[in-house]
Amino acid sequence: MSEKVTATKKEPGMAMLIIVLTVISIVMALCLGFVNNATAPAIALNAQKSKEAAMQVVLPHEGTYDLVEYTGTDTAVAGVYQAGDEGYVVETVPTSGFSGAIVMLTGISADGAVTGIAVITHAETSGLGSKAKTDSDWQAQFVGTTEPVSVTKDGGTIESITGSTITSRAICDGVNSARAALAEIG
Amino acid sequence: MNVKKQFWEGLITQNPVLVQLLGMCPMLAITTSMFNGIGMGLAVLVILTCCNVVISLLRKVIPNKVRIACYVVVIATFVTIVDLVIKAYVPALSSSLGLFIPLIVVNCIILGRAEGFAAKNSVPAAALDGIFQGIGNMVALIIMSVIRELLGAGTFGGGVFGPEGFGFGTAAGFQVIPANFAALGMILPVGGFLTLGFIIAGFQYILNKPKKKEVAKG
Repeated sequence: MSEKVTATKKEPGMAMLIIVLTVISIVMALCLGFVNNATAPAIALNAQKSKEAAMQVVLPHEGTYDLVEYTGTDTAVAGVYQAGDEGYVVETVPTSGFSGAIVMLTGISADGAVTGIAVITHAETSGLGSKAKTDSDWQAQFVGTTEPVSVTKDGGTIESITGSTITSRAICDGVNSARAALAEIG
Repeated sequence: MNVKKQFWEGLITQNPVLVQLLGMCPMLAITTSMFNGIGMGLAVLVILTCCNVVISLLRKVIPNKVRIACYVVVIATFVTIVDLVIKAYVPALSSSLGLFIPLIVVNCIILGRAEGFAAKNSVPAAALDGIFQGIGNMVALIIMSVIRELLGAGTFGGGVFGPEGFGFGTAAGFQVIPANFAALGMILPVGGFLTLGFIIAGFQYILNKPKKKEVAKG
């Protein structure tokens, strides 16, 4: 049927093709910009909410989590939040994962023990590396550790996720970055 | 323009999923709970209708040589808009469907209807086509997700309603089969292929049944 349409229509020149495609793209880009503008605040609010919910999981605390300035050189540390006297929640972004950066939170109590970890976003393999986010039994291994952690394959104590040693190492890196950042802050 | 014909085509005789076999990827990947099925179905319905309308509007302007590029620009725009709106106002759906919302860009239902219908028909007809094909797709998604959820998790209505009433994204659904007897495999990809196969086979059986005597070759 498309041949019929072509036959009856005069074939437009090259300039016309470019103009039409450009105009459509510009109009669509304008629409997108408008929608992005309208939805950006709500999306940022949602991200904030889910981050706060995750903070409550890794280090339960009544009250606010206050951003503490981090001046160290570790680029994996994205933010340090103080949870009153109870300890700190550190947002780290280890880049040693299997695919892309992992955004995660580590809760560390005032006495230096890990109280919990949570993965916020990741791009690890679904069903394998993604267990780092969903498998709370696996995450529980980190709770209570007071020294730098590593997976059993590297001589550490963390049992890595089956088939996802690289992801497990990245999570260990994230926890270690968090601990190091707190040591620097003091 | 034949509303009744378009309606039956979209829902039954030319059902985008069960007959045209378009959009298999989300069909297999996300149909694990009723919430996902309805969410995905609605997203595709909205995108398909908007794209059909715009492409039908522009059908005399778009040169044949760059038509696919133009369609993809239009489709990608609407998919991104819907993705942003879902992220902003229905975060539960966004986290449960994740990547599969942006992937609607390459869902062949949308491009298929744009090329096959909207590009040759008037705006109202294209809009109706989008709505009916979208409903047909949504019905198929819901049937599939209800079956998989029931067999795989033993629940009915997960994410939509449950013993505590309605709760979008949070309701646990009614436990029909005890969780111990549910077959986890039905939630995994293998269950998706199995369910889809049986649904398509059953659908074809029903569709072809009355004509059985006249169609000798099968």
